[in-house]
Amino acid sequence: MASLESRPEAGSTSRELVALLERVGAEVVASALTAHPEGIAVLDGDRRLLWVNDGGASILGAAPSALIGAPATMLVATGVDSSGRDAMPELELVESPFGAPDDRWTLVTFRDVTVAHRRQRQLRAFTRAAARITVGETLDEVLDHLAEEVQATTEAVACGVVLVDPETGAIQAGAAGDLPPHYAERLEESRALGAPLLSLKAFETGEAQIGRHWMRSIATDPRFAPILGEGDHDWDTIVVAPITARGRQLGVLTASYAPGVDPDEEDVAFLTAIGDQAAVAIENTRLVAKIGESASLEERHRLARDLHDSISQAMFSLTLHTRAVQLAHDQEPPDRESVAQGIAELRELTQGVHAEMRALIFQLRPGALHDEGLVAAVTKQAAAVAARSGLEIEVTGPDERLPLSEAVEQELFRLVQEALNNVAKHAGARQVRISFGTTDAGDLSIRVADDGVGFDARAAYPGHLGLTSMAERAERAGGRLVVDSRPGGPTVVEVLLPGALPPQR
Amino acid sequence: MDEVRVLVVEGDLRSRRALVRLVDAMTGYRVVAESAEPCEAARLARQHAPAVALVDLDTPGGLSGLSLTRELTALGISVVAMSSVAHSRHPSALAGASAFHDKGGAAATLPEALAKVASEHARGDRPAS
Repeated sequence: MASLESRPEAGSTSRELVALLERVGAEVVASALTAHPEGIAVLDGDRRLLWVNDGGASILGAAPSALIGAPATMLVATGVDSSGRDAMPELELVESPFGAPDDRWTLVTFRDVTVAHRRQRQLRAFTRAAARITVGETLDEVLDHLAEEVQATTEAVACGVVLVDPETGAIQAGAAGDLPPHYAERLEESRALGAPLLSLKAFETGEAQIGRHWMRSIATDPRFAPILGEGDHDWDTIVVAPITARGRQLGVLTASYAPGVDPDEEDVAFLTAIGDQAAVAIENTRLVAKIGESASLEERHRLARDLHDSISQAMFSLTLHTRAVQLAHDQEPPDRESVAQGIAELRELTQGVHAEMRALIFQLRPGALHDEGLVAAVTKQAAAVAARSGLEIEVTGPDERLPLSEAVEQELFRLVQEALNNVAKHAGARQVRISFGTTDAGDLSIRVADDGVGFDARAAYPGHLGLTSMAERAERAGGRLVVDSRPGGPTVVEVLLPGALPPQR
Repeated sequence: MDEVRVLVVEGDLRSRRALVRLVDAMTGYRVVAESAEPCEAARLARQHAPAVALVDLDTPGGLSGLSLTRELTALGISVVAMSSVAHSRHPSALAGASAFHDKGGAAATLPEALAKVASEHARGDRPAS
């Protein structure tokens, strides 16, 4: 660095630059400019291209020789063609005039910001869609807003969201843009006519579908007539993304693009991410509605606590992560790594929220525990607690359904649930093993073992650990509770139920 | 300008991670310590001397979030109290918190709340130590 200062020609004025050019030779500078990845062009006094480098030519999508003499409007008109889409790449350009007053030339440097701008728009949509989740809206409002967000922030001219209720099979839809009224009913009609609907394919396979020039290929197909209705359409290609909650299909999201617009992999990935977010919004809305209508007062209190521990904390985290992603993105230059990492964490959190919601919805469905059996119910609950606490939880038990009465199943399920909550809140554990043991004589045992800090089991039970209530539950189920722990751990909570099952021979 | 040193106290694992990420994403702020539990948090506060602490009032453990708030403000650390229970606002102010943040409704504006308390702290408007 010191040697630079000693060079007389080093500096920042144009005179010093001339000296530098003379020293290294104009050819060297010319080849550096030619190879520069950003666009560099020189315009003459009539604002026609005199020279453009390779980078600039490739941004403009033509050979340099074909561009010479072209008017500068070619750079400036990031115009919109009749189909309503950006016909040209979006350019960010800087002009600096030079030369004599009567023969002004212009040096233009430019770069393609189409992708950067699209990413920005998508990120805004993503964060807005994520923020929607925390707003308590009716399901119809959620669907309409999602469709609006997608339409407003992507190049899609229309967006439709269709949901199939897993229990009733009812279809619910939201739409924005150029979609006919009663969109869901029309889809249903076309399906009845045997139309090979992409939405159906996406719904069945759980994979995003791209229908390139879809309009062109279905326009004259009578089976699609109900969807297309009358009149002209301004879309051609469609992308259908599944709305999936942990492997379960809830519905699909369809984005339609104007003729000439070619959605790429990134658009598909974006719509899929929106689909994930939509799934959370939808499940959350359903859950809240369900608690309102079906739970008893005591149940509601317990669920309110569970909701606070699980979903509210997750929503809080989702909102914070969303803000963090926004901050990382708004940095100059954007911190792409943090953005990507933040979005990955958002997706992971979203998956966890689904696990918890499923466990809660499961508890709300009358008879669900008895239908699926104790082991399945505990497994679901364990997945939910694992998602919220980061604990590794392993559940082992017999594959066949344990023949227990509904009342006993209820007591045992709550007992294991309380034991798990204790571990998550107080034990400072990393791993939990829940094992169901059976003997031929018909004895049943359920063991919850953790590697946490433990406590003095011989002392009076600390009230907040709820061991008294667990012991009462064990008794009501016809068994007894055995707690083995010492300060420093580990802790084993076991419920023993002799003769709870029919004896095997 | 020096970085604002922040302590994060939050019992829920996911929320704690999210808080740390958010604060670290703010230009000029750095999380110097984090804890799930008030007793440990009090020890970390003495060790790392943060300017501001984000304290979850709903955290379980021997020491409550409110007592921790009193302890931290006594050390001259400005506290942003957070809770999903709206009526914790008044007690948190009594305990010396500089701001109260509702985890339910206002989560997205946490950076602004933190920045306000940090600038008050820098101006010398901090709990008497």
